Amino acid sequence: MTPTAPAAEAAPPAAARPAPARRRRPRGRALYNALGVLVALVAGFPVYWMVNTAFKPAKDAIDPDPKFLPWPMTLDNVRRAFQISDFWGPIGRSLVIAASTVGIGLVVGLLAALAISRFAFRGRRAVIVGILTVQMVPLIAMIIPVFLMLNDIGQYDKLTGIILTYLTFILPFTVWTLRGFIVNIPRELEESAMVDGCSRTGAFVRVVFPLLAPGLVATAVYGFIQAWNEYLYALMLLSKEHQTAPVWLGNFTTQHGTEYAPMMAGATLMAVPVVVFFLLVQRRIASGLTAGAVKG
Amino acid sequence: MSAAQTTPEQSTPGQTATGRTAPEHTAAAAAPPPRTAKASPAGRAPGSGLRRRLTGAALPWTLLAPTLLVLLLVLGYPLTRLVVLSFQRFGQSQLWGFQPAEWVGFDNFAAVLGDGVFWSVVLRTVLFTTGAVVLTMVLGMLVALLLVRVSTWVKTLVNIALVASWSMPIVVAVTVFKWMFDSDYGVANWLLSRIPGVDLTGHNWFTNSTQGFLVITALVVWGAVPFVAITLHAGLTQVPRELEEAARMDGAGAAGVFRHVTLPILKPVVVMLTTLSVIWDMGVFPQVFLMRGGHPEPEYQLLTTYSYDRAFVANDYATGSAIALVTVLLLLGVVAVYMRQMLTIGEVE
Amino acid sequence: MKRQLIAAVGVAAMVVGVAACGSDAKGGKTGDSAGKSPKSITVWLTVDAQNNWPELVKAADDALVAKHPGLTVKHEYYAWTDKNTKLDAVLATDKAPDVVEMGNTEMLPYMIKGAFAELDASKFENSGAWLDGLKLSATYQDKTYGVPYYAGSRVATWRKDVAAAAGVKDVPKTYADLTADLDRIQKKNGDKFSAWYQPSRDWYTAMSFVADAGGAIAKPGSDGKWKSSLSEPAAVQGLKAWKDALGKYMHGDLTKDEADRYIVYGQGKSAMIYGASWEGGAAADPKQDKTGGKLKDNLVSFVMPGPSGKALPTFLGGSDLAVPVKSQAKDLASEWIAAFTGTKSEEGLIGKGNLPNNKTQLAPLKADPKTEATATAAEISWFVPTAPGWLQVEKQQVLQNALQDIATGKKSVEDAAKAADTAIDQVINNA
Repeated sequence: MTPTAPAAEAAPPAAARPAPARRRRPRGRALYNALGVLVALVAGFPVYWMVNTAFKPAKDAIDPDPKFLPWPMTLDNVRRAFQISDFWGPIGRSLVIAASTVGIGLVVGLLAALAISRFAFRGRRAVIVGILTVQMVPLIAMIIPVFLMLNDIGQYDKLTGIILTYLTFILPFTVWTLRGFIVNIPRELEESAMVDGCSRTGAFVRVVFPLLAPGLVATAVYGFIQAWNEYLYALMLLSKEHQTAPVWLGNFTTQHGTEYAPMMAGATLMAVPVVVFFLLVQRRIASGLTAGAVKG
Repeated sequence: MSAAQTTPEQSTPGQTATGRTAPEHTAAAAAPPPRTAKASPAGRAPGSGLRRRLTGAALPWTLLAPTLLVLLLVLGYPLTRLVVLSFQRFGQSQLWGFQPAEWVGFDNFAAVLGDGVFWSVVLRTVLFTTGAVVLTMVLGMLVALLLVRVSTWVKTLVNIALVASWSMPIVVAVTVFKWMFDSDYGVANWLLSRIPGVDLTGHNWFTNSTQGFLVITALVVWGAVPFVAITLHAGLTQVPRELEEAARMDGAGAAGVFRHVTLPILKPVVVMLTTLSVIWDMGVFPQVFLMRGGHPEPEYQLLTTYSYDRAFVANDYATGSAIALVTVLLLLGVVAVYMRQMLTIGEVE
Repeated sequence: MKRQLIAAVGVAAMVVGVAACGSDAKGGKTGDSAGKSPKSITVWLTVDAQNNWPELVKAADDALVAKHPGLTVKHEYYAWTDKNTKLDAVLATDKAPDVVEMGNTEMLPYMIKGAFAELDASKFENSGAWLDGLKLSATYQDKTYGVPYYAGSRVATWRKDVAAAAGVKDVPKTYADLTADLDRIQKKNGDKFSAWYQPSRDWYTAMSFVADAGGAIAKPGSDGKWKSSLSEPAAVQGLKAWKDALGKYMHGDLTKDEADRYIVYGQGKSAMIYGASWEGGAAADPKQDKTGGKLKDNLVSFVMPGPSGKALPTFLGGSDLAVPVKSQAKDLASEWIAAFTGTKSEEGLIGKGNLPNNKTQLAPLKADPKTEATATAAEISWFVPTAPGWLQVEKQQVLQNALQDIATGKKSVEDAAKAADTAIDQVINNA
C-alpha cells in the first residue's frame, strides 16, 4: 500500500478484508470434508484427464482400458502439437490481444466508473441504464453487423479491430464492478487527503487507488479470461494468418479428428498460463467480484 | 456534497493526466503508477481558463467519453445495422457489394416466426438455458455453503480445482469433454461401465440429442459453477455471524437460517449471478458448435447456432439478423427483473 | 510478493500492447502499397494439399518466385467444411485471396454471382484436354472462371492380411462376393470391429448406391426447375442397400463424416474403406498407422462392385482453382495456377493417388496396375445436380443429416428421404 496516513486508518471496503475465521467447529466436519474432496475430484477431473492424456504415449491414449497415470511419460504429443501448425504465433497474438484489452479496458472503464459514482449530473441515469442494457445483448447476435462495421472502417483482420471488439465485451462489467468499489470509498477520505495538501488527482492516486486494487484485479482477470477464451469473433474477424490460440485449437479439432493425445497436449499448453495466473490472484478475484454487487 | 462543488478545482489535471495517457497505462491494473502522479502538477499548470470550461457536467461526460465511444461504435452502430439488415434482403451478392440491398419490410420476420423449426429451436434454447442455469445456481450455492464448513486444507483443495476448471479456455474444455465422451476411447464410457449392470462400451452420446445435451449441459455447468461458487462463498463470508446466531437462538433450523437470514442478504449477488448465467447460457455457442464438429445437426441447434447457420452457412444474412434480433428481445424480457434490481442499487447513493 | 508479480504482469502487458500497435501499423502500410505492384499473393487451398502434397505447392511457389524475385506466396489451408463460410466473409473485404481452391460442385453459384474473374484458358497447359466433368464445372455462359486442378474417383481399399485371416483370398468382383467376404471378416473379428468402415455422413458413398439403383438426388423439370427425387422408388432402393451394408459392417461412430476416415482406418479396427484413392496411402503413413506398420504391406485397392451388378458408380469429385474478382494480383494469381496445374505438377498429383486434370495424362493410367482401379472406376461416375442452389444443399448438410438419421435409426429411409426432398426443394433453385 502507498504509505499515506489516511489510507491506513480508514476502513477498506469490507469485501477486501479477509472474513473473520469461523472458529466454532460444526458437527460433521469430517462428512463435509469428504464431500469437499469429492467436489474437488469431480471439478478437477477434466483438467486432470487432459494433462494425463497429454503426457502418455499416443497408443495408450486410444487403449480401450484407460490408464490413469501418464506412464511411461512422453513429450511426443507436445512435439506433435507444435508440429501440426504454428503454435507460438497464435499464443503470442492471444496474449497481446488479452493484455491490451484488459489494459485499455481498465483505464477507460475506471474513468467511466468514476463519472457515474462520484458525480451527479444530468443523464447519469440514462448512462447507467445504457451500460446495463448493453450487457444484456448476446454478443453472438452481433457478429454479422460487427463484421460489416469493422470491414467498413478497415479493421477486418487487424488485431486492433478485435481488441476494440473485445473492449465492448468487458467494459460494462468493468464499469459496474469498479463503480461498486468507488461508492464504498468514503468521500471524506479523499477530502482529508486534500486538506493534507494533496491535489484531487493526488488524493485519488494515493488514497482511492490502493483501495481499488482488488476490484481492478478482479475485473482484469475477468477481462483477461474473456479475451483469452473468445472463439467466434476471433474465428470470423481474423484470417488464418492472424488466428488466435482458441481458433488454433478449434481447427485442430476438426482437421485432426481423432489425434486426441497431441490435441490434449496443445490444450494443456494453452490452459497452463491462465490456470497459473488464476491460482496466483484467486483470493483477490473473489473479494473483488462480491464487493461490486453485495455492497452496492 | 455535490460533485459540482469539487469539480472545478481539480478537473483539468484529472482529465489530462488520466485521459490522455490512457492506452499506455496497462500497468495501472496492478499498482498505482507513479507516472500519473508526476504528470498532474504539469497538467495543472496551464491555469484557470480550461478549468472553467469543464465545470458542471463536462467532467463526468469527459470521463465517460471513451467508454461511450467504444460502446457506441462497436455495439450501438452494429445494433442499428442489425435492425436494418433484418428488414432487407441481404445475401452473398449484397455482402460482396455486387448488388444493393433491397427492403423487404417484415418478410424476414414473417418467415422466421412462421417456421416451425424456429419455434422448436426457441423451445430447445429455453429448456437448455433453464436447466443449465438452475443446475449452475443450485450446485454453485451448495459448493459455496460447503466451502464455509470444511477444514482449511479442503477449502484450498476445492478452490484449486474450481479455479483450474474456471480458467480452462472454453475451446479447451470442449475438446476435453469431447475426448472424455468419445464413443470408442472415452474415459466416461469406461468409468460408467464399471458400475455393475451398466455396459456403455462404444456408446455414442451424441446419436441421441437428449443424451448429447446432457453432455453439453454438464460441460456448461462444470464451467460455470466455479464462478458462482467462488462469488457466493465470498458473499457468505460477509454475512454477519451475529444475525445467523440470533436466528438460531430463536429456534430456526439450518434451513430456516439459510432461508430467512443468509439468502436475503445474498439476494443481490444471487440475482446478479442468475442473470449473468441466463445471458451466458443463452449465448452458449462454442460448446455446441465445436462439440458437433462445426456443424450442429438440426436437433442440436440453439438460437445462437441457428442464427449463425442461417447467416453464414445459408448465406442469408438478413434472416440470421432477424433471428438474432428476436433473441435479443427474448433475453431483454427475461432480464428485465435484473435491470430493475440493478437500477435500484444504482440509485442508492 | 503477489503484488509485485501482478505489477510485473501489468508492465509486461503494457509493453506487449505497445509493440502490437507498432507492428500493426506496419502491416497496414504494406497493404496499401500492395495495390500497385503486388509483393505477395495469397493462395487458399484445402487441407488435402497441406497434408498430402505440400512439395507440389512448394514447387509452384518456387517457379513463380523465380520469375518474380521478391514475391512471397502466402498460403492458408482450410477444411472443406469451413472454407466457403470464410471465403464468403472475406470476399466482402479488400483482403480477398488471390487464388482459391473450389470443389467442382461449389463453383456454380459463385460464377453466377460474378465472384470470380474470367480466365484465359489458353494460358494453361493441357487446357484443350481438360476432363469434361471439371471443365464443365468451371465454365459459365461459355466463359472460363476456373482451372481444373485434379479429379478423384473412389475405390475400395482393404487389408489382405485381415481378409486372409478370415479365409478370403481374392478381392471381390461382384457385390454378392463382397458381402460374403465382408460377412466372413466381420464374423471372424467380432462386433467391435468394422468389416467396412463407412462413416454415415459420407454422402458420396450413399449417393453412389442411389445412382447404382438408377435413382438421382434431383432432376430438372421441363421448365428448367430442379426437383429433389430422393423419395422416388429407385433412390429409396439404393438408400436401403446402403443402410443394410452399414448396419452389418459399420461398428464405429455413426455420427461421423469422411474427413478423418483415413485416421480411423489407420487405427486398425476396420478391414475396408470405400473412399478417395489417396486415403489408403494416407492411412498407411507411419504417422497414422497405429497397427505397427501392417497397413503398408497389406492394402489392396479394387473397383467397388455395386448391388446392380455393375461397378458402383463413383462420384467424380475434383477441384478447380479460381481467382476472385476482388483479387489485387490477378495476373500473378493466374501464373501461379498455371505453374501448379502444369503437366509436371499433375504427374505429382497422380503419384498421390489422384486423377490428373486432363485426358492426355489420364489415358496411360488404366494400364498401370497401381492406378488401374481408380482410373477404371472413373469411367462409371455420377455428378451432383448442376442446379444453381446445389451448393446450399451441400452447405446445409441436408444429405449428411438425413443419412445420419437413417444410420442411427432415428428415421426410416422413406421418412428421411421425404424430409430431405423438402429441404432440398427449398433451396435448390436459388443461386
